[in-house]
Amino acid sequence: MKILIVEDNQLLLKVLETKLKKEGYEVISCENGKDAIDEIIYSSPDLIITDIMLPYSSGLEIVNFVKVTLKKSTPVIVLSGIGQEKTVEEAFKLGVDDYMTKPFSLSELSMRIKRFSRIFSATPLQS
Amino acid sequence: MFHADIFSNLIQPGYLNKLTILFICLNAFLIAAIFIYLRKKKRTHFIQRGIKKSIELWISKILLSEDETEPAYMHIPSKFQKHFRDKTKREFTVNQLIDIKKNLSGKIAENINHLYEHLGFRRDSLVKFQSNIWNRRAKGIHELYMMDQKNMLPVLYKYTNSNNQYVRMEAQAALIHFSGFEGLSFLDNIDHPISEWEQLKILEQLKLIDFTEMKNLGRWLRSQNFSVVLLALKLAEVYQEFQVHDDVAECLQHKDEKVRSQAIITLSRIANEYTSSILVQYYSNETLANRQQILKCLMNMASDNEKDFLVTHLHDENDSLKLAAARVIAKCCSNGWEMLKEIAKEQPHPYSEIYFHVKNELQ
Amino acid sequence: MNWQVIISEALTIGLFFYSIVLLLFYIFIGLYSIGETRKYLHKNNFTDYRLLAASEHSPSVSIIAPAFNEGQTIVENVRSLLSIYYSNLELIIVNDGSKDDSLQKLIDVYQLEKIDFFVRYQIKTKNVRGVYKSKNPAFKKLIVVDKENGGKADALNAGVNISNNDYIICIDVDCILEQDAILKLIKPFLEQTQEKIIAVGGVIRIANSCEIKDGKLEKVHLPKAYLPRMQALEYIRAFLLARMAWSRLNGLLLISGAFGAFDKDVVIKCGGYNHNTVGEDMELVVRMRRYMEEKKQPYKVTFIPDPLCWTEAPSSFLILGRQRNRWMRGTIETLGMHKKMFYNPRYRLLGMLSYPYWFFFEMMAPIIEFFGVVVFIIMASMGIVEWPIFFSLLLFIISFGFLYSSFAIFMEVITYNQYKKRTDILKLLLTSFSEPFIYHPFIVWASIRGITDLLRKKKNWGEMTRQGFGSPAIIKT
Repeated sequence: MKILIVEDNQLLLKVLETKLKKEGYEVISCENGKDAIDEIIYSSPDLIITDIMLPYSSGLEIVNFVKVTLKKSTPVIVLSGIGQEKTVEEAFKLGVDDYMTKPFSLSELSMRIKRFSRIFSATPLQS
Repeated sequence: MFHADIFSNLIQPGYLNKLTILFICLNAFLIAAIFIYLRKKKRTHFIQRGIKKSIELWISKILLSEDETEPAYMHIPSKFQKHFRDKTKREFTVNQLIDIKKNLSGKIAENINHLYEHLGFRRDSLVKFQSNIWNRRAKGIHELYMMDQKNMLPVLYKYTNSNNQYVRMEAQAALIHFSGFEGLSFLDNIDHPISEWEQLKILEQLKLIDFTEMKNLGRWLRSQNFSVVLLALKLAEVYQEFQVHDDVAECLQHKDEKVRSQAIITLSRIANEYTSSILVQYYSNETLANRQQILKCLMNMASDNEKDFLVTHLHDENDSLKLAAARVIAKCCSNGWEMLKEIAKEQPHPYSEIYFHVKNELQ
Repeated sequence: MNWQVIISEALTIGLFFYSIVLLLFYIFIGLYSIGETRKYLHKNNFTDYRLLAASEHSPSVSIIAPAFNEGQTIVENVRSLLSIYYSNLELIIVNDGSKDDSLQKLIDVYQLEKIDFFVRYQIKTKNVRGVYKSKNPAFKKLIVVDKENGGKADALNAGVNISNNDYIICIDVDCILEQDAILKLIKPFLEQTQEKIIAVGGVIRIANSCEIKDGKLEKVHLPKAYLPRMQALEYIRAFLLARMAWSRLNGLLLISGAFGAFDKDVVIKCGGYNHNTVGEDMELVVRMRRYMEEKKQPYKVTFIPDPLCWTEAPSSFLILGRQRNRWMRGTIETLGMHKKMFYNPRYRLLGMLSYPYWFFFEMMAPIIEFFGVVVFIIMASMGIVEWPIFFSLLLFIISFGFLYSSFAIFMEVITYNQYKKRTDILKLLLTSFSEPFIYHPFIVWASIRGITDLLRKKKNWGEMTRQGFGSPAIIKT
């Protein structure tokens, strides 16, 4: 399964990337919303994990792009930080599938990704 | 002539020229300083970028290592040992570790703490903490609590009342980090005002922690420190502490307008059957801003009991109050809409506009 | 003849003393600003601004942007403003009776519909013809107010009337804002304890030659053209040094009309912007201060050194001249309206220091300089100039000017350093060397014209023709 991670904190991004690669997923990393949107168009990831606050854009723009503009069913998990409840609410209105509040446990995230990957392997490939 | 003497003494070209030369020298010095600084910054930038990648790689390996018997953090590659003799690089690494702690919890967080202690960064934090310069002390406290150095807790307590606002904030954050809601005990003794920014930080930090009973909430509501009362009111609002309803109602008589304003908001969240009439009672003594607040909050709890009161104030000379009252009538009174429609027919200006405005908002 | 010499010497001494006092003020301002800027930078390290963006305890803010005949760029500008991330926010665009298609463009692009809105005229303004909101929930923060033409002050007042929130941010609609500009501008209001913060201003930077795409600043470049580059230096001096120092003293009289935040309640209580002056931004701040002084309530007007807002600066002498002409008229009108405060101890620092400083050194400076030049010419024609003294004095003043500019650039470099390339800094320094010979005399001349125009009661806004940020010359690919 191809996972796109969008996170501006480089160390966190590295940690997430390493962890997910260890678990056998294919990982693409981006540090901002603009690159993420390009990657979504070109690489069509199967799962997107994005921070909700990114420089020069909001993670919501990515969610909006995937769920509203492209109308894809790709699962999106948002990572939210302190003081961002309202943003998470808005994300759910746009159709986000899951969220994790920072600080979060890596093993928890891993389990939630496994849940989506089971759905992924169960259903035939959708474009 | 008399003037000429003073004149030539004052503005001797000699003096002026000396000053001019002084200015030119200072100028040259500043320009040199500018370029030296720029070069230094560029160099630091490249050094940091250089070690950044390798540190990130190394740290992520350590954090993800699952080997219990020989923890990876015990072995520091010699090149990093060399790096960590440099204060700037240590500072950079500590900041990275704190960043990660803000994002990740669980086993990884423990590993970060071990790494922090093992690399001797705790010593750096303590040095900062003991400094008398406010921003260094505050940074020291920040590092110590972010890295879960719980044994510092007793020492930190007194800094929650420090003269410097930022040292106070970090110490308070530390207390809450270590003791959760119990950590709010600093509110018992704090002399300094707690700004709205500090209150916001405290409230947001508390959201990440499991709720426990705040036994002293009532006491804080009666504190001499206005800002403690304000924060307590917000806590009562956020955590819906119904049991302090009467204490909150007392706050409607407080000297400070902002405290009363928050008391109104809090009451609307912990309302009981008497709250509406209490608010109506205090209305006439209140400032314009608080009257608007009362009407706004009545939208959540008013009933036909308040109908007469509302209709009276629908005709208040202040337009904002007219509008606010209209909203409550529409939302809470039976036949509210019909009443407004009638009044709008009788007096189209301004009640017709008000009617349609409210209709647009609420329907 | 003797009396000619006496007079000329007296005038020279007078001018000399004036210059010395001015120099001393500048030195004081330069050094005094450092502490404030450093404190702010340190505080920033402990501040996670993103907390403010979505917290339910954050203050409610309305951005008010008046627009007149901005049809060419209005859609782009609004899109840039709509991308600001702050949850409790309203964006109020006031169409001040534009004669072009500004309103229609907004209606089309943002799917606006006219709604029933009860306008409370807390401040008297020209008639509001309609209030529009979007049918599309993505644009729910946007409110467009269409009203009869009344000028910038009137449009801002209309925005204040419509606003539902506690704080207002007044901006020029074509300003490009930094990502967290709003957060940084609002935070000082939350930090107040003893003194009520009534207004906050931030740094305005020059956007000429910068890369701007989709209403966002992509890359910063030093302006290529001479005049904008000169203004870049001028703004650094004014904002990083002067305003920071005055803010620290709590004597700041001016918050730029291009970008400033205000406590709405105080604005309404003061009666809003005054439309009888072209310097409505300065006049409002002075009046708000005066109101708080008269009420004897402790208050502060704050300035933060963070660059928050980028705007296009005039690049032709004509437009620049008009702008400085207008600023001078605004200053004189404002000082005139509040002359009661001049050396009036009842107004404390405001009356005893700020007002006199603005009077003698901001308003009178161009007049005295011009007067000095005239006197010099007369003296030279009469052959009574003592050339050694004259040249010493001239070199003295010019070298101080260079020193001051270098200091400003130094402060810029060690704080925010928007121009990172060494060559850019060098260019900035070189530009400062030309200032006393080209730029400064022009500014003095424009200010004198302002005074003469005022005396002739010329009262219009002048026009700044918009070039638009979309011009191909600016965007690089």
